[in-house]
Amino acid sequence: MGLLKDIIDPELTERIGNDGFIGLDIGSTTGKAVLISGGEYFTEITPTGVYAQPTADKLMEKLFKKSGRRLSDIRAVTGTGYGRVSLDFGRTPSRIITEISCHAIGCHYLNRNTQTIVDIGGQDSKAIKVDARNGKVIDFVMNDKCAAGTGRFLEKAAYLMDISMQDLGKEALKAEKPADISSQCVVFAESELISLRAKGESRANIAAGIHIATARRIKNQINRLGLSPELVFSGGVSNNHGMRAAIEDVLGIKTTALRLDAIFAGALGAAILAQGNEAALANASAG
Amino acid sequence: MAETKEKKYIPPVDFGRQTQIEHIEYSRDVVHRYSPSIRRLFNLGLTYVEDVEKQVRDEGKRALWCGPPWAMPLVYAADYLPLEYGELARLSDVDAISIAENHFQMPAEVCSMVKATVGELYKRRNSGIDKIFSMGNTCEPFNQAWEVLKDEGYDIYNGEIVFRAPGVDGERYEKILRFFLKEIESFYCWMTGARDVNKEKLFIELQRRNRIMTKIKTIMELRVPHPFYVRSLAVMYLLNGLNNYLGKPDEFEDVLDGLIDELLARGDSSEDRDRVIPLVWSGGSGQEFGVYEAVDEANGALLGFVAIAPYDKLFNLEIDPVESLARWQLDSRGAGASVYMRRALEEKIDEIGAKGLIQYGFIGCSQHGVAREMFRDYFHQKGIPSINIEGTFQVGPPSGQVLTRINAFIEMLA
Repeated sequence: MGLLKDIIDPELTERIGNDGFIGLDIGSTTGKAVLISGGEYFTEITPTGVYAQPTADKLMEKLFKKSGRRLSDIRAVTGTGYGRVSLDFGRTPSRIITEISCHAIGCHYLNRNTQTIVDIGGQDSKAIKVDARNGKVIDFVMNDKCAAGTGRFLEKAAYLMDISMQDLGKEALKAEKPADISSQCVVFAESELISLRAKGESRANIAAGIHIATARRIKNQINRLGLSPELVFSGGVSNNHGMRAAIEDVLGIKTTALRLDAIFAGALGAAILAQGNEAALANASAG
Repeated sequence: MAETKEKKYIPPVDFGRQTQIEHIEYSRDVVHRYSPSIRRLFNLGLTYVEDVEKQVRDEGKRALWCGPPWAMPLVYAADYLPLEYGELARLSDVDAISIAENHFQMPAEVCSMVKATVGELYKRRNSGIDKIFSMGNTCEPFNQAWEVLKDEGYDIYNGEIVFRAPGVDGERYEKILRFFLKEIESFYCWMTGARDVNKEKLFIELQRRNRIMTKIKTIMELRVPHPFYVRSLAVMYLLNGLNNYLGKPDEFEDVLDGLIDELLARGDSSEDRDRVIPLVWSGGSGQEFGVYEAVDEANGALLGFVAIAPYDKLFNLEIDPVESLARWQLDSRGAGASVYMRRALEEKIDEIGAKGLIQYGFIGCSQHGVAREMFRDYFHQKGIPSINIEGTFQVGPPSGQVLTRINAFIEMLA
């Protein structure tokens, strides 16, 4: 929790009103929520359960507890993410918007110079090109074939190396010579990792190799759109420092640091869009 | 809702529309409940294959499985009922692809449309309809499919396709035309045993086809001022019916007349026009009907629909009917070079003032995948956003990612 003015781009802070709005980003792995109200913001995160609705209800309960606000203080809710399709907010005004639009608006409000976003989530990865004037999506590329280039791939790799997801990124940063991982298919990569381990390759080098292989895939997505700075890394994997380093190495450009944990960028964008899509965009474009 | 603690969550009983038939029924009974003509259209689609099979079984009529749109007037002229195998695959069940992959050992990466077709035709191998006409020489998976189906007792005519490269004219063009005329006669002979095409009947069928194309063109033009009256799935069925009349030419034409009347009777739709996002759809029409619902729910409207078979190119009734048939195909957007299709897309985008282009193809379809990428680059350079969707003929709702892409694309255009 904190003050919106501490995380939002100074040029855009006043575009956010005082009323209460909630953005819920129900991803395939984790559910994220942001409540904005009276110049403050509150965040919550929880693993996504079997159904999206209980996850959303749980997040809202936690937000209300943390913020001291009540449902009656909330003017509108936006649902986004993988689980958005099955959300029901009862009588509270609500809208459902894709995570692509929400990440674009969220990252724009966090840094109005954002023009390219890499969003790696649990089950997909996206490259998004953003109009810096208003945060609207200009173009996007999304993998939708398999777990390649996604958090699921990293999760499986961590499991095979017997370390946690959190440690996978840290381990990668210790690498002396990243291993060459050619397979992006989780199934084939598994045998490749086992072979590397059998050869005695260090865990750090393998971890770095995994992240670089994923970053190469991201690079190909970005190339389709064209890379325009500033580049922001968002989504569930954005806390992985090894992944961030690999993206920066492979793309040859630094990612812009945000003042809010970028895992909440989509939920923040959803909360902002809950103000009214048109209003949010019109306000933003005025800046 | 969130403030109720310890609320036991009861998952929804209605898990949504899973099968294609459920989508059609929903579109017929809920989305288009106001339109008697569209409800009739869906009923024709739902009963198309079974009714033709019944007519063959009970009334001694002749039918064949058929693919190429240009051939349908000829099939009707030969007193056959055309059963378009694409429609069969579109309403296939979960067993069809399993049969293709497990019984026929077709690899998983083979186009799902081919596999659904093979599976369904295998299940119908004793239906009494054993003739298949295809011009599948450009699609290797279909060629393989026909080979395996021969062993199941099917009599298959796999015709030679004709291509007209850009710039081909004069004697070269006439030579290709003569070759194609022979192919048409040969196909007719295979169907009927007669060497000469019944030109009187063919002429009548070409007249009918022109009439039906004109009516569909009228409907598509009337949709521009009334963009939400005929929603996406119904448009898809209209255009699929253009090829085969869903086995009932008179009834299909009657539906078109009724729909024109309904559209003409519409009041002011300016509110709809203000919020619509006009889109052009090209490529296959697929089986994942949830994609069409996603377009509708996002205020998109497929006001332009560019498929291989056009509704705005009439047969020339002033020349020999067989030649007219051949020239229609040879001069069409489906005559080989992708530039023809690109031009058709450009015209349609301009005509309806489209904000974006959705290109739909099937996973594993090597035939059209490259062209779609070329079109994407071309239209992006012209400032027209497009999205390439890869779907399947697998039964079931579209994946979350496909819906996300469609939704995000339309949000982007809004």
